[in-house]
Amino acid sequence: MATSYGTRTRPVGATRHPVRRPMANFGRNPASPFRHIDVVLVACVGVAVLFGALMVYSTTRGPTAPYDTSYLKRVIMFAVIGGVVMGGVALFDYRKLRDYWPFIYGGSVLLLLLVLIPGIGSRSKGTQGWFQLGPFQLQPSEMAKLGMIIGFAGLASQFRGDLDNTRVAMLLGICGAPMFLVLLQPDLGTTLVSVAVAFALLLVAGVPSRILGVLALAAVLLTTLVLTSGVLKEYQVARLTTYTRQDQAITTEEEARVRYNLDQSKLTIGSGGTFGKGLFNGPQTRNGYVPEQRTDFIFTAVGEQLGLVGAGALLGLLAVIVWRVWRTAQLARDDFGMLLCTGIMVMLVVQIFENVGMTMGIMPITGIPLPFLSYGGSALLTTLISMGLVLSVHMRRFS
Amino acid sequence: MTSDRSRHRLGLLAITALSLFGALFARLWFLQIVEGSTLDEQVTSNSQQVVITPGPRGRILDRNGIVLVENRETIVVAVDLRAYNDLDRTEQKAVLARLASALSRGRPPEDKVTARFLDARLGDERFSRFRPIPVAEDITVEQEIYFREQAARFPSVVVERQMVRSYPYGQLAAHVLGYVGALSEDEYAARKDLAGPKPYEKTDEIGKSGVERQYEEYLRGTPGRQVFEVDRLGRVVRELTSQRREPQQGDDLYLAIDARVQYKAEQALQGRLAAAQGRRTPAAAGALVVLDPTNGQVRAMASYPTYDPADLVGGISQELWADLQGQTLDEDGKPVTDEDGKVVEGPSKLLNRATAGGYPPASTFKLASGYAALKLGLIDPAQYVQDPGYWRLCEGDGPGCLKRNAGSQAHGSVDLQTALTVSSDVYFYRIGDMSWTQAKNGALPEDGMQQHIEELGYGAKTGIDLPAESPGQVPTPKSEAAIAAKLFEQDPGYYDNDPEVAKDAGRWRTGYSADLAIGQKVTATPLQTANAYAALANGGTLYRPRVVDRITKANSPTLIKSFAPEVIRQIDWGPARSSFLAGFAGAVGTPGGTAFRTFQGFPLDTWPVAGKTGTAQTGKDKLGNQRPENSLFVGFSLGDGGTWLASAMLEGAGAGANAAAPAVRLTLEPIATGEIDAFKVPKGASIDAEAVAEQSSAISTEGSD
Repeated sequence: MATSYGTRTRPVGATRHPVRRPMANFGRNPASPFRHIDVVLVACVGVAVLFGALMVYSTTRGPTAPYDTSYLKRVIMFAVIGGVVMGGVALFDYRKLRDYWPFIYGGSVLLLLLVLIPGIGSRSKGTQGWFQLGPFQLQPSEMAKLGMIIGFAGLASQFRGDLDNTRVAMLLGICGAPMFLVLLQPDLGTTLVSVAVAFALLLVAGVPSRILGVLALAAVLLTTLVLTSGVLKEYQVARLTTYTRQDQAITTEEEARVRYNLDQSKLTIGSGGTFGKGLFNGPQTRNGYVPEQRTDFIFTAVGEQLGLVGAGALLGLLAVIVWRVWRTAQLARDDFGMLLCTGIMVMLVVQIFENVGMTMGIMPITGIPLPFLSYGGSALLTTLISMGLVLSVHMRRFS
Repeated sequence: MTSDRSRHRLGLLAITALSLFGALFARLWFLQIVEGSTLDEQVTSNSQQVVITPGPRGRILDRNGIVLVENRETIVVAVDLRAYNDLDRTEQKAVLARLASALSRGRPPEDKVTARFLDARLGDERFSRFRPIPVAEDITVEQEIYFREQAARFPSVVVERQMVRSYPYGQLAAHVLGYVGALSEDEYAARKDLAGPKPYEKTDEIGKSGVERQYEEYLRGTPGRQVFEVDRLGRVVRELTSQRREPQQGDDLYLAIDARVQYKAEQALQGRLAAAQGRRTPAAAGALVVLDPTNGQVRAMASYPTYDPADLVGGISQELWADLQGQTLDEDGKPVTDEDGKVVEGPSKLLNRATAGGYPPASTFKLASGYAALKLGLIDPAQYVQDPGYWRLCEGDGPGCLKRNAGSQAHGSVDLQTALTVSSDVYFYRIGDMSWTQAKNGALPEDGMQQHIEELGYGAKTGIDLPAESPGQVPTPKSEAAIAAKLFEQDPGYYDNDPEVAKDAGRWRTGYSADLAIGQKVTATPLQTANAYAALANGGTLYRPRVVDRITKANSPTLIKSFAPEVIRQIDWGPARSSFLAGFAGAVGTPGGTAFRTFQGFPLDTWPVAGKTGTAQTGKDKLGNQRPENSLFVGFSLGDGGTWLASAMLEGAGAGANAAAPAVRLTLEPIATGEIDAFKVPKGASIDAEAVAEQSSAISTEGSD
């Protein structure tokens, strides 16, 4: 590990877990985790979350005074809670998860099972995917993505790179169980993200290319089968395929609805031009032309109000975050940390690409939020917990 | 596992992530930079709704500031389509049914409003979806109160007050003023891309005739504009007040016309038409123009039959339209036809006969043929010619060889002046004969006469500032040949399929020249005749006639445009001018003059007048009877700065002295006596033609052409 820092000598007598109380010898120990906080990542995450809060406010304040601040308040509340949780997770030594992963993984799978039971889980927009907790909703599929990554990393790190067919099958099983349950809700978007994450984890875990090739082929066949067999409801197929027929005549009502959404989304982004219409000044955003704008289509608000400059800067900011996570994966002192970061990085990249891509018409419309920006407590919390994990891995790369 | 393979594969992921971000940025660039402006335009048109409020039209006033056309408020019932669409289907039906019965109350059965009409109106695409669609205009105040009180029973129905044209003097000068109507498809198509501050909407009104049409760009109000931002359900979110523009009234138009003279002219025309009505006369029709010869301004322009422009406000029914065309409709709404299946058409009421009616000018044309003969050197004003009452064009008894004076009267020895005073046709037959004989010899050009005639403005539009002017017609050997050739081309059978026959038919004959010289075979509008005489009266300037004097800002004296007299060309009358003037003065003032008796009692000694009668033959009817002649007269003041000239033409009213000369006298007399200065046009300007005929019965109608 840490070969890029190869010239740096490790302190004499450093054991595998030398510091159980991290603050104890902060001043003296050069390997202290607090000397290695990833400030760039923390700063970027902070900016991204605040930026998201501003954008959510711009989409929910309404066209005229008095402006509605209820959403802004909730986002800030989520951000504060999320920030505290992220800090807590970062302080927590991720290596302990190697011992506890079966509980975390098992817990997330259990939640996925529970949410499918009518009466316990609740249904919204055709998906059985929420727990109603007082005024808040918890979306276990968000948590399950992280659960899957932790589970995979835990199991794979125990195999120490020695992967025979049985072990690959076990890893596939770890990924498959939550995916299957999420598909039952059905939450197609999250499933697709999970597939990508699982594939990347298998790749980095060292599964032979031959097996990966077979898996990729199987995935393609399965997707085709699912799309054509009629398992999916009409609206799901329409959402998935409409973007490929953007210039053709509309045939179904559902397609018309999706197309409207897509057209408004593209119009809104495109009308921003180079510098945008100015914050709070986009007519499309202000007057609610884009459905689901504060959640899945938050990027359109950025595009319209801040233009290529603002939206480009946002993409740049997200790219920096991804880079920091990837860098942490490179620097991690053990396989577990590396796989954890790899999973989180791929999760971020896929969600960003899918979400931003769908608002611009180059990806199918699925209900995937934009990390850090979309309105939604569960998603933000999951993202910030995962950032906390990355920070934890980064901090402890020498200890 | 912490092997090179993992690190390589992590690198693979980095490259993948980088390319995905690259793809996003590329797409973003494409949408915002490449397609940005197109998409932005779409957004603007989606999210903004522009509401146009028409600006009131400018007023039309006479030269002294008497308001002839203004705007009045009308109460309009309209349906707000957006509110209407929010109702469910049964409610919509109920509202329309209630509305139909409420609007039908107190109307005659054939005028009832039906729910079907209302439904069709709401679907009419000419109306903006964002402005309430008018379904009934000019409802009473009682009805307005009813609708307001019962608003709950009429959801989506709004009662508005709107500005429409109003005419305090009724029919007065209707043909000059013109009327306003809804923009037609073609008119809209021609104007929809019009730039400038006064763009047109499909529901707009536009001047259809008269000065309303000619000066549309000034009279039209500047539409107001409000821009609203709407949400995706079309609900108004707020108004973009920075883009708001208030509607502005159009400019005020001051006519050159004097309303008092106009009223007197219409009275005279209608009165004398009524007096001339007899068993054999056709439906009364005619025109009378009063000009100021010193600048070409039109002081009055009357045309009969006329119409009330107020009837045309807010749309024209089929019956009214047929009536305006001179047709009548049977019970099925079809025009009434005669035995041959031809539509029976009386004189059109919309036609302005003063500028668009081409009539043979008859003896009034002798001014032009005399002028041409002088220019061609065919006559000497002082030279006497024997007038035995006829002129022989050719040897033999063939028809047309012998041309006669009116009533075959012999005038004896006449010079130019006398020939005009007594209206000797022979003097002018001789001119026509000579001109063609010399043309055949090659001594004169073929159309020598016509060239000089056209110098006086005949055969070409005068360029008056009114639409749909007729140029009249002065035939030449070329035009005759062209007509025959065209006829032959269309239907060779008409000339026995023989091009030689056609050619012969198109050949110019001596008789044509003779007829031309006495104003038959040629057509001119009463305005052209007036203008030619004006060029004599003022000493030799042919002006472009004008009905508008100046344009000012709405309700303000601030001048926007004034019109200086515009000269078409100078006419050199030479020393012969005195012969013309003396001849015309004699026609009015000396015994033996054709209109001498008509002007008995007219203050000629204080306000001398010269004039010329004309009696135009109009051919034969179906039964072969000679149709009654058109009566023409031009008179102009010799004193008083020579600022008054009147030209009248009364269809089928007999000889010039019978009807046209009395009409001109009736028009000029109040001016001559100064009575006009104290005269006030009665509101509504209604005219009792019979009473006028009765009162003016003392005027002698005796005299010849």
